[in-house]
Amino acid sequence: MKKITFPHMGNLKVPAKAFFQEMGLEVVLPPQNSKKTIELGMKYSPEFACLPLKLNLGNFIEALDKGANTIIMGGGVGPCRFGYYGEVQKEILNDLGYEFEMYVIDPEFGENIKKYKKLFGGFIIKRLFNASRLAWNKILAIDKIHKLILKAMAREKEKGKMDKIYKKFIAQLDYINSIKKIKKLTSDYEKIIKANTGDLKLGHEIKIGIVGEIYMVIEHFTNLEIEKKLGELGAVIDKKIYISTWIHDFLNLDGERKKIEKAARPYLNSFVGGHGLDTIGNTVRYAEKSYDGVIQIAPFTCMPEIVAQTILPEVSKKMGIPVLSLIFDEHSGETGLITRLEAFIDLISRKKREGLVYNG
Amino acid sequence: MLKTIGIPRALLYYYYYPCWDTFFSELGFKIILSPQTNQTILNNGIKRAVDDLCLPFKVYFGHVEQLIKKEIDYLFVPRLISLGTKNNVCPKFMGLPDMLRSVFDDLPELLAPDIDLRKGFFPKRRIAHIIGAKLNRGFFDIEFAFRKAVKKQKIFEKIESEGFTPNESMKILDGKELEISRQNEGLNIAVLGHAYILEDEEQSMGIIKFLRKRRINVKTLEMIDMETREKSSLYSKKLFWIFNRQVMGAAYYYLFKAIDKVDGIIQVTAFGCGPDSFINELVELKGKSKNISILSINLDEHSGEGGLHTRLEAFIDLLKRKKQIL
Repeated sequence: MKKITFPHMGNLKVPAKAFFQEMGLEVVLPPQNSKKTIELGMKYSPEFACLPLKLNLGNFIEALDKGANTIIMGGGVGPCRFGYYGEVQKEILNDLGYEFEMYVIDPEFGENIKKYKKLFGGFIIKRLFNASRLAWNKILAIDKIHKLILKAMAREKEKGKMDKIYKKFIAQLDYINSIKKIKKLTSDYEKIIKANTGDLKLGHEIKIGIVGEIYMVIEHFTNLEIEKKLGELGAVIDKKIYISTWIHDFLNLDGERKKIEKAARPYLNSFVGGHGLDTIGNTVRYAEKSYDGVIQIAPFTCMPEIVAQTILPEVSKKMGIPVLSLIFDEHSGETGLITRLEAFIDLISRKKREGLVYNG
Repeated sequence: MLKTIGIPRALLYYYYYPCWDTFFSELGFKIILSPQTNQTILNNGIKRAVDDLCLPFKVYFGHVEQLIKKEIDYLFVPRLISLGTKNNVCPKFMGLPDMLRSVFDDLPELLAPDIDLRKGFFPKRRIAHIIGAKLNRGFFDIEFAFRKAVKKQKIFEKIESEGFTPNESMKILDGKELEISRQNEGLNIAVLGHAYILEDEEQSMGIIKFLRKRRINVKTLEMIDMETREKSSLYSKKLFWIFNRQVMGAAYYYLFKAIDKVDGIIQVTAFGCGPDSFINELVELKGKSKNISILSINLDEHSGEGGLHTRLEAFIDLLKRKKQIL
């Protein structure tokens, strides 16, 4: 009997679990990302591998220890290292003596059909359709509420309330398996968020855009819950990277790609893998929309983001928008992060107040 | 007076310089090459770059700074994207001209063609014509220079495959004498890594010279022909980074096909190289079940020559003991 597992990335576990269960497979979720996950990952990964690889590996080890025997992993064709994660992780796990099967989903249609047939024991379109539809609706619901929360945190009536609401929503969504109920739950929570929204904590609006590497942006454990921290400081947050937008982008369903490329062109005129081009393009777009600052999040040694990080100072200078680059590794600590965020928000806040005085 | 084109002696220089040199000289330009990497160049590069950037690119920045001081007319910085179907390079090559524009305020005009050989028919010729047209040269001049350059590059690669490193091959190509004697005491060591690290003595702290002085027969990846490297790399899932695929292929060639040809493998990589962090791990894991010693060296700007040489000595001793020639 196949016991499926997959790596954590934010709340991906909710739709992914729903998908595989709906397809009739047993899912063994890795325990939530924790210090132990990082330690396991660090111990067995190459030292200069990027943080997501280490965490994925930690997830796999913990899940295999829990009884999983089949790993589902994403793939790619470069130049970001993610495309080769599966191969490296497979070798490391084999070396550690684990017995398992690994399915790496590369963007190769024919191969994927073969893998799909092997994994699910056949090709039933109706079942695939239903499972995908359920998972997709869960993704949309998560991202919709997430977006609202990011905006509302700066206006929450009670400190930390929005974070609690969001976590509760995710927990409830996990148990629902009908699309009707998902929609109902979403609209219920929209009302709850509204009811808990009050005035701006800072008295004036500070809009921060978050850009960077997708895993770090989405995975709240590794980015040390940066969104929550920014929200507590009173910032209104926007980001363009969600699981739904990533799938949209992958299937090329919206015009975002073109807009990003166009905005980035004066500074970076080439795809550089991962979300490097997005980091530049979206920083330009945030500046054009008069955001007050941009924060770049990336794991240590991330190649596309290093290119972006090198170019961001120029964007910041020419577009007149403050940019903070935060590079995370397995040793990043909370205190250091809070200090830097406070300083950044403080700087923007002061600039804004002075601006108001000059104008008035 | 001839107009000048500056070429940094770093990164792709070690792969394609004979071709570039011929092409631009034939078109009537004077090439200004930055000097061998030295401490100043290295330090300048480090100052300009973000901390995380890998050592070879930091060095590249240092070379660019040297060239800017010389008031060149053009700076040649190709944007390498792909060398064919199903391959690409690390993101830093793709963003190189943009990074330079951000890091330097006083750049001369950049010759920064996109090198993407996946696109169109005869992509190399097309790129040559794009560069030539930008330099205001006529169609036939460009065509002539292009053909001559390609020919030169082929000769260069042929010399390499006969057992010479890129630096040596360039010397031979220029008709210069090689100083090193090739006596050896029977130890064969494959030194695998990117030519732009190994051939730069400041970065690699002269690993190859050091080994040769101890009369060791050094084998670099250029000495295995390209097709063999490509084929051997397939012991793992097809790797998309072309340069790293070559390094991995060379290592796998010795591990799986020609283990008796070498006594040990030294993997040399530089701080911050993303792809190499994976390749080194894979080679080490695959090498575990084979009877071969592998030494992995990670160079960074703080590496001391003393420490490195001690490690190399110890490795040589180990191999000698294994082979019982001590």
